[in-house]
Amino acid sequence: MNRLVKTLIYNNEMSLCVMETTELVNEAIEIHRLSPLSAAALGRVLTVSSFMASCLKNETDKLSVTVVGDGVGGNITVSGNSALDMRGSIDNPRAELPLRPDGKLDVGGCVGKNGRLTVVKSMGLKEPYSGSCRLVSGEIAEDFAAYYLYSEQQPSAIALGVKIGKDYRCVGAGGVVIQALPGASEESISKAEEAMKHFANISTLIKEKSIEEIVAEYFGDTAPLEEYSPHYKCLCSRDYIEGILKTMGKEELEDIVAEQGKITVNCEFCEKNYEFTQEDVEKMFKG
Amino acid sequence: MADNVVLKFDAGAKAYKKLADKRLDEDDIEGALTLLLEAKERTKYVLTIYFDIAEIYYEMGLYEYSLRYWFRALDRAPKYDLEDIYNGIGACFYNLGNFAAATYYFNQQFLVSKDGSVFFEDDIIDSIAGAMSEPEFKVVYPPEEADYTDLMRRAKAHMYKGEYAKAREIYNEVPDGAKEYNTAQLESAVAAFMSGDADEGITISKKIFARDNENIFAICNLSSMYKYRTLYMLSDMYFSKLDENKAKNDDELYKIATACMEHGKYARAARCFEKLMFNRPYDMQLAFLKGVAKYNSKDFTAAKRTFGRIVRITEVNPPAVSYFRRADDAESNGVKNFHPLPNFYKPLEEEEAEYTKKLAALIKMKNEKALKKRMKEPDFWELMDWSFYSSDKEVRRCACFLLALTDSKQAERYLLDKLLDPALNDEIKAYAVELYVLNGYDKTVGIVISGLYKKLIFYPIHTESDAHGNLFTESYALCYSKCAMLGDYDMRKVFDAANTLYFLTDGSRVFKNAETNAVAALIYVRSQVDKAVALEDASALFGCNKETLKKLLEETEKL
Repeated sequence: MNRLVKTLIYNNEMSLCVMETTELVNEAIEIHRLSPLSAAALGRVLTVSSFMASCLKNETDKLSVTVVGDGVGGNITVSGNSALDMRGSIDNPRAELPLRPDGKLDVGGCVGKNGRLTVVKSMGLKEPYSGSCRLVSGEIAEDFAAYYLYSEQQPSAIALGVKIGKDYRCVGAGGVVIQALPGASEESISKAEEAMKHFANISTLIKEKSIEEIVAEYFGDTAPLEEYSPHYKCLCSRDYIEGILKTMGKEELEDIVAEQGKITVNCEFCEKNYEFTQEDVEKMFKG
Repeated sequence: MADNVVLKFDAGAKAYKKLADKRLDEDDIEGALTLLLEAKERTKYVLTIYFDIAEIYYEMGLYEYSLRYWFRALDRAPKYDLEDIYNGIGACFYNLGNFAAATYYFNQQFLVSKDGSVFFEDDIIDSIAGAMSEPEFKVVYPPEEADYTDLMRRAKAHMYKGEYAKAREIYNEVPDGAKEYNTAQLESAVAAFMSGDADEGITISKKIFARDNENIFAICNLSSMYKYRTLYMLSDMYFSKLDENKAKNDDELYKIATACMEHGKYARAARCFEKLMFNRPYDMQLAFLKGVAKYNSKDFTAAKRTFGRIVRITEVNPPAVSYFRRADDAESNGVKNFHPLPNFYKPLEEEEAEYTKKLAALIKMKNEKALKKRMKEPDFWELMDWSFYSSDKEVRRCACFLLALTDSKQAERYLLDKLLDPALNDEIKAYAVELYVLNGYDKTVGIVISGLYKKLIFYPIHTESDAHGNLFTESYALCYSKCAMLGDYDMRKVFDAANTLYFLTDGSRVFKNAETNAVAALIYVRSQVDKAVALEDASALFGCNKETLKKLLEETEKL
């Protein structure tokens, strides 16, 4: 089960979020048949995007995250909403690179160092909020920390990890996000940065201990925990796809059917295929 | 001024000159400059326009740009104008702190002047001493006690060249207790950071912060270094301590402004730059940064105004032209995907691709004749301009090397202009200097460039205004500039050698007909700045006869 737990630490001066997203990553692996490298990259983005989605206030709020880099994995796209229905895709689901000298997956090489991270939040306002920043390292955690600092003026410390087993399944995935609240003291900030040093291997920690154990061991007394459950859920449907196709116009749809025999639409998030025949096209525009 | 020179104007230039004079009467020097630059384009070389432009730049404090026009005037002026020109050049170098060059040109002025009363070397020394405040007066003459200012400057010169380990070595010589200690340590922290050891930089900066928790330099260091280490909460914590209203001087305000740029607080940075420019309205580096801050805070109109002003004043400024175009485009058409501009000039990807292709084609031209022919094409110099301002070190060096290869006056003049361009970084200037040395330069250029980036202290020697004094003034200047460029020498030894030799050899028949090059080589050998130097090498270095040098050495050893 995926878990996302939030609380306040250090005299309520800092906010803490600890996440376990092993199942979420495994769903993505199954749907997209991801290589370990692609799974690590997409898994990290899914994890931190879950945190972002948990900060959405209204029921109808939505979130979209795009990581465009020059790495072998290509672009990564993740969508979510306030109910923590998360879904994602990566351009190259079977990216491969040699391991780093420290034996870890080269997520930075998969994503690339040159590129941008863009977040679009639809919060029921006139225009969606959009924030973007340059990638820092392609390792994802640092990139999102930079995003939070520059685009949302919220200094944050983020640790993310995805551990893949020999059977190419995820054996541990999770993350930690700490953010300073207004007026946080120097002492609390220093303690927080010091604590983050323990989460270099967060994926292993998540595998071995529960979230409650991690919070207690590294942060001591905290405010009561709030819990959320992110999950992999694609919101595509035949009706939704139909709605998009209708915007192309009848003539264009008929041209495609004439050329290819049918219209096939593939959902990049769940890999589901939707087929539309000439009859379906006519039904779409009837009445 | 050269009022008695016959001027030939075309109608256009005359009209612009007349308008410019009117602007000058109204104290609108910026307006006058724009008109004079236009006048210059509309006519063949006219001395009075070059003089006016040089003097306006001088009044603005843009001494490098003033020098550009004084040197152009020097190329073509008749003899009776040389005195004014040498004085103009000397004054510019004096204000830039390049006293070696200043003394040389004031001396040149003295040599060409009719009555010798305009500027005498003692007057220059008195001016320097009088201009400096009491604590700094000591460094004009070889000081009796330890000289940390010189140490700091030497270290800074190594920083400019990217020699961070050497810079740290020198900074660490400043003892605890010296007033420069904190600054030296913080500069050492920057050197550590720049050489890849951010943690060491942080440790040193924290040590100084612990001693003085209001030290702006320490706070800015920590804010920047923690940001680099992606410890954003700590970075932000230090950044939030900065308050531009508490800045004690321009240096501190400047550091706060650049920290704001790093943290994406562009509007705040723009306000800091505006405040700095209140006292320095013609500082084009500040203007450029202000323009970037305005663009990044999406005030495209103000950004366009700022970059446009830079282009109007400095004439040739590819970074400002490029950024002006981007601000203009953003103002007219809006920006779909807004990306902030970096503080340094970074051309658009398509511009970079086009120029790189052209430069690659030039490099393949191994024939010097073909290259010189290519230099006559108008886009060649545009390509050179782009190359010199490129953020890619190899591109900059390629362009520099290509120009040095051609051995043409035009290329030499272009390189000299670049050496005098404050917008260009010191690394490429240092490289250009090396090429000048390899190509064989005359002592004029040597003195001009010796202090440009090393910012050395020059210890002037007292000489009489006779042939012996003149010989030693010129020889000392030549020796000094060679040493300044070739090594990290203790220049006081050069001073001691020159000073001692001057007095010892006064009246000597051997020195009566000695040549400058030979005496300069003699000073070099006697100074022992390079203990291992052989006579043969010293004579080759200064281009004098080895036997002549040997004879001079033997003569001085008898004294």
